Amino acid sequence: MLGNWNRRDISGTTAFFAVSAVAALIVVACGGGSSGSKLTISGTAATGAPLANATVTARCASDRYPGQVSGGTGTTATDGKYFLVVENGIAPCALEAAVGSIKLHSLVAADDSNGGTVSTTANITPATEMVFASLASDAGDTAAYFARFSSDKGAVMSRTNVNLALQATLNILQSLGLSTDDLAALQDPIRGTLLPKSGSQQGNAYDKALDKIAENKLTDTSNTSPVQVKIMAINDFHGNFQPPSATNGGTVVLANGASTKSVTAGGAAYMATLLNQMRAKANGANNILVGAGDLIGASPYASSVTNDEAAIDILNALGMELSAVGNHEFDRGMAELRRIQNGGCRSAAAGGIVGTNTCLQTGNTFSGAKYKYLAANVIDTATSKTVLPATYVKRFGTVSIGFIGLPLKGTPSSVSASGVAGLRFDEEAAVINRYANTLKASGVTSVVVLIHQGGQTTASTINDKTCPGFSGDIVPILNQLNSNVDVVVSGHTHMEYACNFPSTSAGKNILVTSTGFYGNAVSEIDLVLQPGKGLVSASANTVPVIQNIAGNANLPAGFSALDKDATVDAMVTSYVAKSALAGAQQVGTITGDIKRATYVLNNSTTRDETNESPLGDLMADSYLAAAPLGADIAFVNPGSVRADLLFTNPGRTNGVVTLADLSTIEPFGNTLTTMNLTGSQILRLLEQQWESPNHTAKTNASTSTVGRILCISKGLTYSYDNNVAAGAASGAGGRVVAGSVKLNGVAIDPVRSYKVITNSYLSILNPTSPAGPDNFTILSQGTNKLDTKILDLDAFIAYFAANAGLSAPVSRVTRVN
Amino acid sequence: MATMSASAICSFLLLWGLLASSPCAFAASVRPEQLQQVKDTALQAQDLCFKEMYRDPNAYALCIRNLRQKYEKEEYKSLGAEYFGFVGALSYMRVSQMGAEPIAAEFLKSFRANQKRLGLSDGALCATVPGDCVIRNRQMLDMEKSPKQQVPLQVKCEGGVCRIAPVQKP
Repeated sequence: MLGNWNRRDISGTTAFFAVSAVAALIVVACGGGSSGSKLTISGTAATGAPLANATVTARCASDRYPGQVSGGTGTTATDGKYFLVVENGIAPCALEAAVGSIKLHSLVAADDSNGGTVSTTANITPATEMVFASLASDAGDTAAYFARFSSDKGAVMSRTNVNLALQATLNILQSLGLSTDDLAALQDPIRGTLLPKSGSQQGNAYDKALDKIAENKLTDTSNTSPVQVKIMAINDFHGNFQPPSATNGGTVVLANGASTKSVTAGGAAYMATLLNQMRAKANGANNILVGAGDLIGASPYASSVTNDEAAIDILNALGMELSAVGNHEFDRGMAELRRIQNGGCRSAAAGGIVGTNTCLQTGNTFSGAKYKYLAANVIDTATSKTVLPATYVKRFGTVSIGFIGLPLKGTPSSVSASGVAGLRFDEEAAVINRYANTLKASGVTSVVVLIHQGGQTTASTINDKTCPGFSGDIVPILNQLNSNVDVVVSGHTHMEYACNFPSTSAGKNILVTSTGFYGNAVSEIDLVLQPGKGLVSASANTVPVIQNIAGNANLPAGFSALDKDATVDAMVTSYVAKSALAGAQQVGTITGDIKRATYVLNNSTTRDETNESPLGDLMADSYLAAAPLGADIAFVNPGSVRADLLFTNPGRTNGVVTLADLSTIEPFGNTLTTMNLTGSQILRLLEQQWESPNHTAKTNASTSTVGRILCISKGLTYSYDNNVAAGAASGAGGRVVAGSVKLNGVAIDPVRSYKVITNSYLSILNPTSPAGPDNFTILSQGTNKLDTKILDLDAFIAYFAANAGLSAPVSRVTRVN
Repeated sequence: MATMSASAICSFLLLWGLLASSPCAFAASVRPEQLQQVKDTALQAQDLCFKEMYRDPNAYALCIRNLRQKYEKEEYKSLGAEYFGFVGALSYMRVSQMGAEPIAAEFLKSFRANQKRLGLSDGALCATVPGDCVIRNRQMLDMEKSPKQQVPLQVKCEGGVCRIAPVQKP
C-alpha cells in the first residue's frame, strides 16, 4: 500500500513525508556549453508512491574548479522520474529531492564517474536516504550534510564506503522485518530499477519494498500519544550468576539520611526477581533488558569451566534481549564468540571440558545466546564488514528504539592478540553517529547506545543523581555524539552512575548509565517517546540487587530486599553442581607441592616474578612435550602461572591433581606457537628480563630484587649476576653470565637456529603494544612462526596424564651475588 | 628579622597543637590560591589515576603515590593528590571494588595528617572534589573511628580469572 511516510526529525524541525500524485514536468537542466565534464544524472524519486514535482538538486565535485562544487537541478515528473545535468561535474555527488516539507537524499559514489560525459542513475528514496545518512557521520542530519557537501568527500563516498553503508541499511531493514525478497529488491537502491506504482502501472519489487518500509512507520499518524518504555540494563556481569564475594562486587553502599548503609547484593536468582518487578511496573510489554558488554569472560569457575555456557543459559532465562560485546567477549577469539551467539558444543579438542565436550544444558545441547550481540565498530579486515550486527530495532507499539552496540576501540590492548586477530576496532563516536543517522533516517523514534566503555564519578553512595565528578574515557565520546543519540548505556569501568550528561556536540543532555559489576545492580531507565517527536523525557535509577537475608534488614527508605526466583535459583544450583563435577576429574598426580615463587608482604602472599618459578618451569616442560615434531626450548611468562599446586587438599587423596587445579593455574586459553630464534637472540631474550622497562615492571618488595624472570624448560640453564645494575636500555643489558647459557650442558651457539615454543600471549606482537608482550620483543622477531592451535591447558593436562607422580623441577637459573 | 623567645615558641607550639587537633579552626588561614592548588591537583589525580582503579587498584594507589611524590615540596598540591586518592577509592567502595577500602584507608591516614598541619577544614577540603560532603565526611569519620583490620590478600584464580582475593582460612 502507498501510505503516508512517518514523521521524522530533520534539522530539529519535523518533516512530514506525504505522498500524493501530483502532475509534474520533466525538466532537463540546460548545459552551459562548457568544455569540461558533463555529468548527467537521472533516476526516480519515490517514497513508495512517486515523489512528483520535487526539485532535485545535485552537488558534485568539480573537475574544472578543483576544490569547488558544481551544481545542477531538475524537477520530477508525475512518475517521480527526473533528469539533470551537472556541468563540469564529476562524482561524488550528493542529491536532494525536496517538495513541501519532504527532503530525501541520495548520492553518486566517487568511483562511479571519472570525468568526461557520463550518465549515471541515482534514485532518491527512503532507502537511499538511509544509505546517505549512514555516510553522514559528521553531521547531525542528512539535510545539513547535503548543504555542507564539498568536493573532498571522495573518500567518504567511495564505492567501498557506499557498499558498507548499503549493507548497514539492509541490516536495519532486516531488523525492521523486511523479507528476503524485499531485501533482494533493495540490493542497490541508488542504481537499481525503480518503477513506482502510478495510475495503471504496477510497481516493481523495489517499489513494493518501499511500501513495506512505509508500513513499518506510523501509518496511523493520528495516534501520536506519548509512550512509556522501560529499559533495564546491566554491564560487566562476568558470568557471576552466583552472588559475588562481599568484598569483590557483592556489597553496595546506600545513602541513609546523612549516613550510609552497606548491603550485600548480586546473584542471578535475586536479579530475576528484581527484573520481574520492574517488568510489572512497565507499560505492558514496553520493556527490554539489555547489556553493555563483558556479560561473560573473566568469569568465576562455575561459569568458565563451562566455557560460559552456564552464564549464557542463565542470561537467557533472565530475558536478556541484546548486548554490546565487551572486550572480554573476545577473550577466546571470534570463532568462540560466534559459537556463544549461535550455539553448538565446544569439542574436547577445542578446549571443552577435559575428556568431553561442553554442552551442559539439558539434553547435552547449547543453543547459544538468545540475545543479540552487537558490534558496530568491529570490522573483519578480510571482508570490511562488521563481525556481528551493528544495530537492533525494537518497536514498542507506535514508537521504536534503534539500539547501537559496540565495544571500546581499545579492546585489542586488553585481550590476547590472538583473540582479536583479523579484526579492526574503529573509533566509537564516528561509528555511533553514522548508525544513529541511519537509524533516525529509517524512522526510529529514539536512539540508544550500548557501549562497553565508561566513566567514573566521585560519589560515595550508589544512585547519587548529582553525578559528581563524572570523568573517564566515555566523556570525549559523549562530547562527539550528535543530537540523534538520546541514551548511552555504558560499562567497562565497573562503576555505577545515572547521569544527565550535557554533551557539547549534541547540544543537549544525554542520559548515561552504568550499574557497577558482577550483577550487583540494575539500571532502570524510563523513557517517554512520542511518535513524530522522539524522546520526550528520560530518567534513570541504579537499583541494587539486595538479597533478602538477615544482614540486609532495616534498609533505608526506597530500597527493598529481594527473594530468589525459584526457576533461576534451580538453574544456578544445577550449574554449580555440574561445574564442580567437571572440575573434580583427576588428571594426574604429584609427590609434593609444586609452587610459584612468592613472597609475603603486609600479610599478603604475592606472586614473585623476579625469581624462578618451579611450577612455571614445569609448565614450560609441558609446552616442550606438546611441540609438534619437538622443540629445543620452551619459554613461559611468569604471569601465566596463576596459582600453586598443593599436595594436600581437603576432601581428596593426597597428590591427586584435578582439572580444576590445572585450569585455575593456567586459565587464559592461549595456544602454543613455535618459532626459530638464533642463539644470540635467546641471549638477548634473557637479558630483556632485566632491561628497561622490565626492571621496574616487577619487583620483590621484601628482597628488593627486580625483573621479570621467564619460566624455562628442562635442559636450558644459565646464571645471572645480581650485582650488575638492572634497567639497561633495550639491547644493552649485561646481567647474564658470559658462557653460562647452555642447552643440555652445551653452550648455546650464537649463530645456530633453535626451535622455540611459547604461548600466543608472548609470541604475537600486539600492534597497540609495540613494546611487545611483557616487553619481550625478541619473541616477536622469531622466524618460521607457527600457531600449533594446541591450547596451553591441553598441553598441561596431557603432560600430567603422561607423567604420573610429578615433582618440583630442580632449579635451572642460578643467581650469582 | 623578628625573633621569638623560647617561652613564646612553646606557647605557639602548644596553641598550634591544640588547634591542629581541630582542623576546622584553621580554615580561615588557608588562602584561596592555596585551596585552588589542592583542587587543581585533585583534578589532576582524577585525570591521571582514576581510570586505573577498575583495572588494578594497586596501580591506582601507585599513581597517586607518584603524584604525591612529584609534589612533595608543594604541600597543598601534595594534599590534593592524596585527598583525591582517598575520595577515588571511597567512590569505588560503593560497589565493593576489591582493594578499594585499604587504599582509601591509606590515603585517609596520610591526608588527615597534612590537612591538620595545613589547617584546612573538612568542609573546605571536601569542596575540592565534587560529591556529597555530608555523607563523605561522615564516612571519613566512621573510617577513622573504627578502622577495619586489613584483610590479608592473595592472588586467587578460579577457572578463567585471577583476582586479588582475601586469604581463605582452611
